Amino acid sequence: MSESQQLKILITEDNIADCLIINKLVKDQGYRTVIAHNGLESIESYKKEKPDIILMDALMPQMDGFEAAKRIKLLVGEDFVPIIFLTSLSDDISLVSCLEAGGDDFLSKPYNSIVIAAKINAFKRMVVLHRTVQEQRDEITRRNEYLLQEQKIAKRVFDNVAHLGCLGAPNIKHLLSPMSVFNGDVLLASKKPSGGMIVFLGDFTGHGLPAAIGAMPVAEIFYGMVAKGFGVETILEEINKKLHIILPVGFFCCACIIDMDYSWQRIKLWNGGLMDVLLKDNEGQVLSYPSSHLPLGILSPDKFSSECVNSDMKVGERIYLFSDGIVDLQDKQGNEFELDGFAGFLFENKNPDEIFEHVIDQDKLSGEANAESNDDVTFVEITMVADDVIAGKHELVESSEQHGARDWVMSFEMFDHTIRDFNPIPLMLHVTMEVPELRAFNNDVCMILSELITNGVDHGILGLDSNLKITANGFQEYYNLRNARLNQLSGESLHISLRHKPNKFGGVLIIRVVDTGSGFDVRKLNVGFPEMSQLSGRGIPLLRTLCESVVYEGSGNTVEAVFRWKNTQDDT
Amino acid sequence: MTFKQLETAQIEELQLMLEDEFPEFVRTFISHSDNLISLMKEQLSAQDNDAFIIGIHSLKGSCRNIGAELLANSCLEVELLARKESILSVDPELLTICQEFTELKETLSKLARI
Repeated sequence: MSESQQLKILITEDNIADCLIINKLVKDQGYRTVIAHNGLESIESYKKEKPDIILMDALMPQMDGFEAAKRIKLLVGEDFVPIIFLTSLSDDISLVSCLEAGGDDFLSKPYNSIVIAAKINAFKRMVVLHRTVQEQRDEITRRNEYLLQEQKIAKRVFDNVAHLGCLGAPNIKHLLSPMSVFNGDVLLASKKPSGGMIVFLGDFTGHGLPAAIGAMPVAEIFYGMVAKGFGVETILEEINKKLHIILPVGFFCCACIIDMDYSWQRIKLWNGGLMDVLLKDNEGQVLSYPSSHLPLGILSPDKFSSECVNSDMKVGERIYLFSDGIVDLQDKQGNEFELDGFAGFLFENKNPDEIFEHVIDQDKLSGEANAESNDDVTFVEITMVADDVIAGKHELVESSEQHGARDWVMSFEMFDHTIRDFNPIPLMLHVTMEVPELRAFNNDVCMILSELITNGVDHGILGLDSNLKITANGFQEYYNLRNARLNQLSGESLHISLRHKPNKFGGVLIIRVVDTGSGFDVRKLNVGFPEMSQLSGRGIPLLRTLCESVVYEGSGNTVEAVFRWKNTQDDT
Repeated sequence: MTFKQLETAQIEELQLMLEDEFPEFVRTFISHSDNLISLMKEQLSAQDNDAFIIGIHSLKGSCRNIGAELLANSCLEVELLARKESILSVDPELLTICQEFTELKETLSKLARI
């Protein structure tokens, strides 16, 4: 095509003398020519020869140039094959007919070699340009397909890391509407080994691949740390530290984390930069928890605060989390679904089961109204449920590891400030998980450990009365007192020892916790009255269900719990 | 050299461009036009308006191409007559056109030395 010789020109002219002249003129410019003598021949020649440019006489016997031009333009499809009319017609109407038939230009008789050369040249440039555009378009299409393919593979990896966790739980409803293969929003949920659940909603700046990449370490940290028994504060600190290191300046993650405690009917909430989290209580009131922190990834670890809000949440109450994409959702009147509008809707709505469906409808409407959707929209509804007590089934663990640690003792003692600042449960779980088959009982072990340690610290060392928690305001009082006493610790210690012994059915884990407190009367903890202990004293009956024995010694500041486990594989 | 029937500049350009092929071109032009004129006479007697207009239009165009303005203008008059009034208004023998074409043939033949 770059060589003019390669350009092929179809000449359609019924007058043999004229045809001779134009053919000579075009050939002299260095182009190849093909001749047709009427419209029908012209169409046949076009199909056979695929010329680059067509010169077309207007009036011809058999089929005139207008009709032939129309039919050829239908055949060329998305290619560009210019048709230049050869005409001695000069009235406006005739020239308009040429254009309407798909003609691109005219050449009038008598022919002038300079004009012909210039016109063919101009169209040659357009043909080349058109082909370049087409080639580039095809190249872009190919690259885009390649990119999508790559993204699909990456998404598979991504989905394995940022999996949905326990988002399938019956008390969670969620809506995720990704703008592209990846979603800039990340929604994670995981059951705590000690019962209850932690939910994380993050909205990264931007969307698509750059936003999704940041979600990978978040998911990795979240699932890893929740499974190991870390609290939300530590998890937040870790995620913030990681994002602070890896995200470029100006990129961050607006996030909210909620720790759902089913047994105490409490939530612990941290909101950094996300829309107000809304809670609809059983009395129909809507409480809002606005952002009180900067988003994750902005502050350095020393400036970051993981301080959470604690609140009651009764069974059946629902809490709503969403990314800012919800503001762009349109209601049925086409108005934007502003946050106030949503809070108002939440307040007015009497049937809580309809709320989630309503938002889904808005999302659909919005999608129809605006095909090029604006932002990622994530919407989550979580309902408080009654204690799920002991996590159901123990998953089978393939004991392929023959070399695990099965017969050992370990002891750990912490003092004053460490009692206040350090959560020993992840460390303890880390050790117990060295027994390969015991990993299936991770939840049970975690629950026993947290009960024993909490009792040891709260009641043993700090001397707090769990009956305080029964009243509505009692919780706050309890925590205030707890914090105050933790800051005054002096000469106190908590000693934890673990002993694991294998036997031919499985093994026995003996947990012993000794505190330096003045002791307490175990009977005061409502041990004998489980029906009264639903709110505050649930710990000890729970221990009794899980353990073979729980024995308090001395003045009550030493407790020993025996957890006997059977290898489930041997059972069947 | 000047001719009543031909625009000098136009025919000289053609001569230059076609070089050795000029005599062949002149022969083609003459035989094609002869053909057209006898066809047009038949179309006139058959009162085939459309075919006649295509023929006279074609002859007009090729005359302009070689610079035969006199004949081209005569063709134009007849074409307009046929288009605007009726083929019946056209001289069935095309006397003016035939006469001018005969003179053009002589001039062209001399030029092409045929």
